[in-house]
Amino acid sequence: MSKLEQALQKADAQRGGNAKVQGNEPAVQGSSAIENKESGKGIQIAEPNLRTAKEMDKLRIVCAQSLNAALLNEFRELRTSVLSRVSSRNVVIMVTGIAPNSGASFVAMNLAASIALNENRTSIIVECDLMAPSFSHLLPKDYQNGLTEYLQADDLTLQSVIYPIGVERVRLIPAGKARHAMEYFTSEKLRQLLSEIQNRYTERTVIIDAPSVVSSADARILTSICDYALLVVPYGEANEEVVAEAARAIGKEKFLGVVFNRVPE
Amino acid sequence: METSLFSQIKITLENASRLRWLVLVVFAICSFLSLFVGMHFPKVYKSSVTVFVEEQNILGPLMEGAAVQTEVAIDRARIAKEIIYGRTFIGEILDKGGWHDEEMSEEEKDKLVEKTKQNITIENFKSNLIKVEYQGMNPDEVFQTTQLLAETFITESLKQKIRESRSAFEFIESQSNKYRLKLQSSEEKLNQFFDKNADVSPDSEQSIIQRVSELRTNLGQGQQQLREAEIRRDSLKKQLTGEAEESNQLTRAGGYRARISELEAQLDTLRLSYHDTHPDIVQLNRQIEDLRIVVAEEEKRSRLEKKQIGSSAAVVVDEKLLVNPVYQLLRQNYYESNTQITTLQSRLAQIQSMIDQELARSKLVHKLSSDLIELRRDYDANKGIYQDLLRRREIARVSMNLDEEQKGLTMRIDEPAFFPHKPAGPGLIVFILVGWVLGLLLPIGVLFLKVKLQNRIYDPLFLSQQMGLPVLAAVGYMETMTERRRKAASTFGFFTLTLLVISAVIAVAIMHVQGLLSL
Repeated sequence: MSKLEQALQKADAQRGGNAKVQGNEPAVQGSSAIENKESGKGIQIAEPNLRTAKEMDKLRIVCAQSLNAALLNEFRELRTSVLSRVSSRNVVIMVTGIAPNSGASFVAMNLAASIALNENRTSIIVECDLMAPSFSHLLPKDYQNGLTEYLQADDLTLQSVIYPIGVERVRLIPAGKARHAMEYFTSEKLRQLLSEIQNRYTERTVIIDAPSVVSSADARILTSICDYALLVVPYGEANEEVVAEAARAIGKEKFLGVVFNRVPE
Repeated sequence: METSLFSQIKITLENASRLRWLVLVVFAICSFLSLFVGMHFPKVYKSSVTVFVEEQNILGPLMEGAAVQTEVAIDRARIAKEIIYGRTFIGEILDKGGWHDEEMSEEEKDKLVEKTKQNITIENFKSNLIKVEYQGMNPDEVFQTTQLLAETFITESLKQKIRESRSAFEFIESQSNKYRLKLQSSEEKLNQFFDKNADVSPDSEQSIIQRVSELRTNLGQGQQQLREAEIRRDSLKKQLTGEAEESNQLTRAGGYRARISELEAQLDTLRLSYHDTHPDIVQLNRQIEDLRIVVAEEEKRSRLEKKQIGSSAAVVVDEKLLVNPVYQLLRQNYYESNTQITTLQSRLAQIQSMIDQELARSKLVHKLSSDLIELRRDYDANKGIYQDLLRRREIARVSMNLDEEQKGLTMRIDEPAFFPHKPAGPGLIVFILVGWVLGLLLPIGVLFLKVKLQNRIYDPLFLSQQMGLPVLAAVGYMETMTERRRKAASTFGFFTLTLLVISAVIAVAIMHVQGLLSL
């Protein structure tokens, strides 16, 4: 754990996790954000209802105070590997599994959380697995719109679909309520959305939680939109052919690497 | 995908731990099934009897050479099997045991015999102990049958021994009878031969040879004498011829010479008294001279005659010659020689004929003696065999008597049959243990096979090294507190249930053994 992170934890503890709700996402034009870009100090975005370590543990999200230190370290290593391999600071990374239920959402969430452990970095998860959305439990009860609603309607602001999830510097765009929305992924609006959220902060990583690249056409479309793709291979559940097929579907250019998931201790 | 056996086992155990409830279910099913089978496994009772076969008893060394002990062979188990598995033997057992129902058909009886055979096992250990084991469902029946088996086996073996030695004796006796007849016939042949050829004895040949050689010497001598006589005769003949000539000449000239001698004697006498000029003396001289001339002429004439007549001319025997005593003597000798030659010739012919006779006889003797040798050989051979057989027959007789009186007894029951109180075969505990082991091995084996056959990826190194894909991280499963607690509870529950299954199996088994429970 870096000193920076330790300091951050300390500050967090002092705040008692009771930061005031000041809006979901500060505007790009917001002074504090500009200030941030220039000053290089920690990003100061509003963080409503930060979750405690216990809660995070329950939600299977790593945090600096995580009870599961080994897993935290593994995700840190993953974060370091990923960031050392990408070309720019602001990238769109797709996380896909070789099959449904490979743990791609888990990896996506924890990658986002571990990237955001650095207070200079923020991350946003775009939930694109419309068939099996897995982050609804993180959203407020009164949540209305998600990605599909935004892409469908013209009157929704981007801000209205970005939700804080109680993890510092991590935001989420949920899938929305509509299913079967493949055609939306081909729309220009999604590209605009991605580029907008990508460039809102200087060091922001956009993480797409995509369905399985082998079984879903959505994932293939998303492959063309993202900058890089991570392939999640669960321990003891895939054979060589399936992994090779998934790697082929992603293509060599965008293939960032494999995350071997659910390795027993 | 190449995975080492160790890691395959490790992965299998991981999978088993993940699927522990399933494993427990299989374990429980196997345990109870095996227990059930064990409880209903047919109870087999076994009893055995050990028969001791004595290698040698005290009579053995005593009777060595004189009797041959019927051995119960080296592979005693084989012999025992031959006896016991025999149909008659088992039939006897079944009859004695009263298991042959009178109403049974032949087919049923056959089946019963076969079944009984299968229940008997025969072992041979320590080379002189035969163990006969019988198994069955009913302990009483097993005990009785085993006893019967042993007793019948021993009596049967002894009977067989007696049979064996008796048949040996009988065989030898029949052989010795045969040879006695043969011997008698060759004896008769020999006698007949001697009757026929009384003078033929082994030494007659020798005497013939001697005689022939004597005769030959005589013959030689005779021939020599003959030759000498012939020479003498020839020379006498010559002499006879010569003497005749000589006599002829001597007769005239001799006469003259005698006259001359007489005259000369007178002359000498006269000269003693007279001179040579005495007329008597002169006359005498003239007479002598004349006579000499005459002699000379006579000689000349005889020489001429000789020439004229030639040597071939027969001697002209003068009458005067016949009175010549020398001639007479010669002639006498000549006739004597002739007579001698004739005698000798006839004697030689006789000797020659005798020699021929002897030689002919020698041939006959030779032939007869070879016949005799053959007859003698036959006789000797038969005699030898017969004597040997006689000796052996007596040995066999003693052996037979030994066996009949059971003095050569070499079998006894070493360990009598026992009453089987407990069933043989695997006990309930074995079934329980087998059930447990099977209950563990079955699911784990299936899981192991699954790991082996499915070829799944368990090692991130495979991805990076074999497939060339960069592996950025290998992350574990994140357990939440609740999950951890639930897992602990589940583990506890798992072990409790496992213990419960095990103790239930044991409890059922104990109750079954105690007769409290029969499923």
